[in-house]
Amino acid sequence: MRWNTIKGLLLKHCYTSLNSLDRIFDLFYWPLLSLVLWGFTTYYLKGYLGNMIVAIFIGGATLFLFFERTQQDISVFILEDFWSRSLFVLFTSPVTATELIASTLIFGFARSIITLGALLIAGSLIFSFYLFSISAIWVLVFLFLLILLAWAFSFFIIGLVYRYGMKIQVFAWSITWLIQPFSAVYYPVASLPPLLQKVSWFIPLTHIFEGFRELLATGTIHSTFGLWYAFFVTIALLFLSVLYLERSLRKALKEGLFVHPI
Amino acid sequence: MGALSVTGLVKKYGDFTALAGINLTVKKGEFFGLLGPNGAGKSTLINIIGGLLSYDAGTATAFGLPLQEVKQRMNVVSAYADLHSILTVEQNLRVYAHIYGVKDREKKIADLLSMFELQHLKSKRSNHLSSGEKSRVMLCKGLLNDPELLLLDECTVGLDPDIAEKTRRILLAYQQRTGATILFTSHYMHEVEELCGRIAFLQQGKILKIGTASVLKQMIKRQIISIDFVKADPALLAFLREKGVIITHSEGNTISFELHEEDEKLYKLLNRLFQQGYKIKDLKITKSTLDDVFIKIARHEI
Repeated sequence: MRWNTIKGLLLKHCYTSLNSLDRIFDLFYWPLLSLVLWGFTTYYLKGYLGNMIVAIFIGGATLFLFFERTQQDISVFILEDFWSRSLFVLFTSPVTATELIASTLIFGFARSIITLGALLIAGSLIFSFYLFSISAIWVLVFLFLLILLAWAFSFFIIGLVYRYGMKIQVFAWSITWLIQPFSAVYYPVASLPPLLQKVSWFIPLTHIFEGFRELLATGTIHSTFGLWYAFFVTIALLFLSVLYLERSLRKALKEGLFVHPI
Repeated sequence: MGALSVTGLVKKYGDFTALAGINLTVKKGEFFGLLGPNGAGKSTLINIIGGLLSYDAGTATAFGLPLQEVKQRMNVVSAYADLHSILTVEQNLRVYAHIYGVKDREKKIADLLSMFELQHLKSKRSNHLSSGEKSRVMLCKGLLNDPELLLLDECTVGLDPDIAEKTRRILLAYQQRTGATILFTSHYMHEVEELCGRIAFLQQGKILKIGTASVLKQMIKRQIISIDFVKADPALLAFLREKGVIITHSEGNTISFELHEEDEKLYKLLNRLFQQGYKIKDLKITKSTLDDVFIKIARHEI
């Protein structure tokens, strides 16, 4: 990997972010809007269900929106090159796939940190809830796992885009929402029907949010088995998604997707 | 060692063979033209060399190295590609100046914008440019890294004649100044003839002929003879037909017909016409052009 290439690609992502109202909205508008909606709903419910409900929903929303942002940003910045028909120029330049992905990960990470910052500030100022006050260490563990999982999802989506082109771009936005109902983000796994509970325990995201709720309720996490499970499954997914991405890229070069994007 | 060496290159899309075993060596410092009808395989070849397409068989190297290893030393310009649409002209060039590791980036960008008369557009977004302006920005991108190997795929499409002529001058001057190797495709035969030392004619994924423009024109050994008579009557037409002349055009006192270039028929025919008392005001001989060769190839007449 060459630093000047990464720097050039980071500059491209940066200009894309600054020149596009869509990308600015992605950064602040949608995450904050979701947080505020959940926040006011829980503020209303607080009177009936107690203070814990605010922490569960605002904390859950913050973590999930961070996960969603990280996953979407990477996929969207790869799709940008399809939308602007600039794949030809990009792939005839000395840019390698590794450099392209690395730059997108770095930039996506920076953007997701900005979004997280905005969510934390909004949570503190509007709803008097500061996520890191629960346990800075555990919250960092949750965020770390969420980043890895978001990357695995992104690599899979990029692989799909390189294989099938823009016709499957809807997955870039919908994949996180597709698994959300089964991942116990805002409610415990026990709330799901028995069959879906079994499905839910397979999803790494479930263990992160179950862990988060346990931390809220007891102040600690008694068994780290679930989080280790989430970690190893995420690593396996990362490996598989990178493999899939690499194969998709080879297929794209064979079939000329970058010459005639579909 | 050629600047570009391609041996037995095959590219297939399912059952369709886009390149059927291309062999080509382009010498260092050569301005080399690729000609052929649509679908002949010119762009496929350029896309493979540019790194956009993989190939099924054969080898392709530049400066004796695998293509992937020389990307920093080459550049590709295509009329059918776009820069990043929501970035301005200057932002696009800055991004690629970084990617190609250009030193003194801002000066280089300013020089290229000035060379292609684009300074006034530097803050304009790429998606707001006309097709001619886009082509010029692409050419700026193409020269950013002073490439040793430059691939130009119909890069003058959309340019008005004045800008196209300036562009050709810039490209020729660049090639003469740096000794770069340029692979050039165009549907404008006069451009190819003006710029390229050697030309390869492609048809259905194969190279039919490689040579200079004059060598290629020898593929059609025909000339058009146009004679303006003082008076052309039906008897004259009958006389010419009787002598086996195939008349291609007849209007007023002017009669045009085709003859083989090496034929001595014209000399004999003119003698017979003089003997018959026909007077000639003017005589024009048109040799075959690259356009003629192109058309004949496209129509499978060669």
